[in-house]
Amino acid sequence: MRYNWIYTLLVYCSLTGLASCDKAELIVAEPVVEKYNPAVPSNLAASVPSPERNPTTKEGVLLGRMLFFDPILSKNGKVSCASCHQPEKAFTDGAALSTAGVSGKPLLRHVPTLANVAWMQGLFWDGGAKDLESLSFGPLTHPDEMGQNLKELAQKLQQHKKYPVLFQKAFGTDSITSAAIGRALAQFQRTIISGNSRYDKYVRNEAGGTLSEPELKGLVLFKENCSTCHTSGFFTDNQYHNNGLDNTYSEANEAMEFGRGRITGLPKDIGKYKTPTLRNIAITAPYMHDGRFDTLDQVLEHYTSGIIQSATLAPELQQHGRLGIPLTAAEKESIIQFLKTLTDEEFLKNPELLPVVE
Amino acid sequence: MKKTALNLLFGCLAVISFSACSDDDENNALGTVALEIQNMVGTESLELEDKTYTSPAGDTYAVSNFKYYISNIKLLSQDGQTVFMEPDSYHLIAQGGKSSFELKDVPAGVYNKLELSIGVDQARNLSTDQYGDLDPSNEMAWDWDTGYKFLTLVGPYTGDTRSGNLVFHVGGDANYKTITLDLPQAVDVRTKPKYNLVLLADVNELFQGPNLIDFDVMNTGGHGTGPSMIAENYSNGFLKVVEVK
Repeated sequence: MRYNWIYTLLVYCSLTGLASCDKAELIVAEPVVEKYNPAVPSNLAASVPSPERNPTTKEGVLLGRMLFFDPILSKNGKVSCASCHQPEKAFTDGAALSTAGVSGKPLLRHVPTLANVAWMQGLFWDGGAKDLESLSFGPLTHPDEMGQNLKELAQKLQQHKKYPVLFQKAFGTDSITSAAIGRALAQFQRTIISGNSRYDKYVRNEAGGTLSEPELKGLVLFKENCSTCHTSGFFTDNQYHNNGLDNTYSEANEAMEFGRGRITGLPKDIGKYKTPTLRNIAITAPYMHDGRFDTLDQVLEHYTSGIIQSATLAPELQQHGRLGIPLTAAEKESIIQFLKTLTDEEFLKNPELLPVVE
Repeated sequence: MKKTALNLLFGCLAVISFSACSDDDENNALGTVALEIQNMVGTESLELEDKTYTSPAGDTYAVSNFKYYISNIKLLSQDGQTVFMEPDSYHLIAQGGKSSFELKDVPAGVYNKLELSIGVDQARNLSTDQYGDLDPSNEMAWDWDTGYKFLTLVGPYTGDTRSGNLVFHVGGDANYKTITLDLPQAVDVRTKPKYNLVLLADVNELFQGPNLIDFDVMNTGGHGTGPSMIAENYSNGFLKVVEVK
């Protein structure tokens, strides 16, 4: 059957070839690089999504991984993506507001984890970045992050002894552009997948998937009280909520504190932020978009007794005839016990997510 | 096997795409229409930095950076039918940078109107990992809220009550504007294979018609999901075709 089809194509080609003029040259397309499907734990998703214009390939992921850990991406040659997104901290940096950028000035928002970022809709705390391909230009160029002019970056990489070959392999051309840099970084980031915590093994009925009584109690409490927003699987609903942290929002820094409202321009979105994933939450302190809470105890305390009323406060946090979620001290402790089961040691040590050893 | 078939298909397509070249005759002769855009302030040519201008509201200003996207260019017949549409049509016009480009392979026909858009259409405004004039290294991409600045105008101003820096960065899908301009003389590529259209872009028209912009009141902005007053102005009288040669 297939032979028939190819035969037809051949005949058609030779016929149209006869009709063409003398100047015609037969251009045969470069062999297409093999699409690569990173392994995805079954309770997360069937496969890693990627846009049509940037399919995930082994070559693209390798290039993205080299770039991710390479400080050549910054203006002063000292800051890489991994300066703030450290693999051993689930791709966060442990600071409330990072000072690891080229200027040393504290950033205005807390570094988010990159775990399972392939499935996140709307990136940054306010969802301003619409896809991973476009996102990287933000931290690359921000004067307090990597401070890098994109034209100069393409030139630096073009003059590098290794990168042109790697771009050639990944994208079929050694002419390095901003788009190819963004796409390679996106491809690598889509392989930052966490779904092998003790909780995941419990869900999948696998060896090592045992949860203790307090942890199981915590899981039940979590489902009852937290999972509307921290929907299981990715532990985020990919939506924006005001979780009662503040009731005034400064217009300084181009209204950074408006959160989602800064992007949509709508009053109903002021003070709302993206629900963060809770995967590896025990090792990604401090917490919230500004890193204001140092411990999970403080976070649970906030949800039980610290909620501040405001016009855009999430209705989920005012449905018990009072503000917040009523939980006893023991219940809070159980929830924390459960949250600790979301730490994925295999992910934190995954050699595929560490710098390439040459 | 799959790959072989794919390569064969590509090869075949390549042959097909070349096969058209022998068919050209007088009836479908292809022409070139160049667009040359001169940035003006009223009747004077725009100069960056040193020169001071007076706005329609009577404020003074200078321009240190002025860039905008012209996209999705079409040539229309007298009755407004689209006859030619430039493929992948995105041009970043920059004072001190690109000011002209050519529409190539324009088919035979009589063209009386030019349609173009200011800005980047929604389909291409969703991501910034793009090439050519849409390359984000051209500093027209927004990183914190993915999309393009359609027009940027920056420079010092002195109003009646205050002075400072004009920072107009206009973007957002609502501010993508399509306009149709009459050509002062018809373009007929059968009689002449190469035409030049001279366009004038008047910076002062950004500050009037319909919205008079007083720098004492408004001197920054443009970003957002809502309509921009400057975008309303740039769809009304900002661009004109003054000469066909």
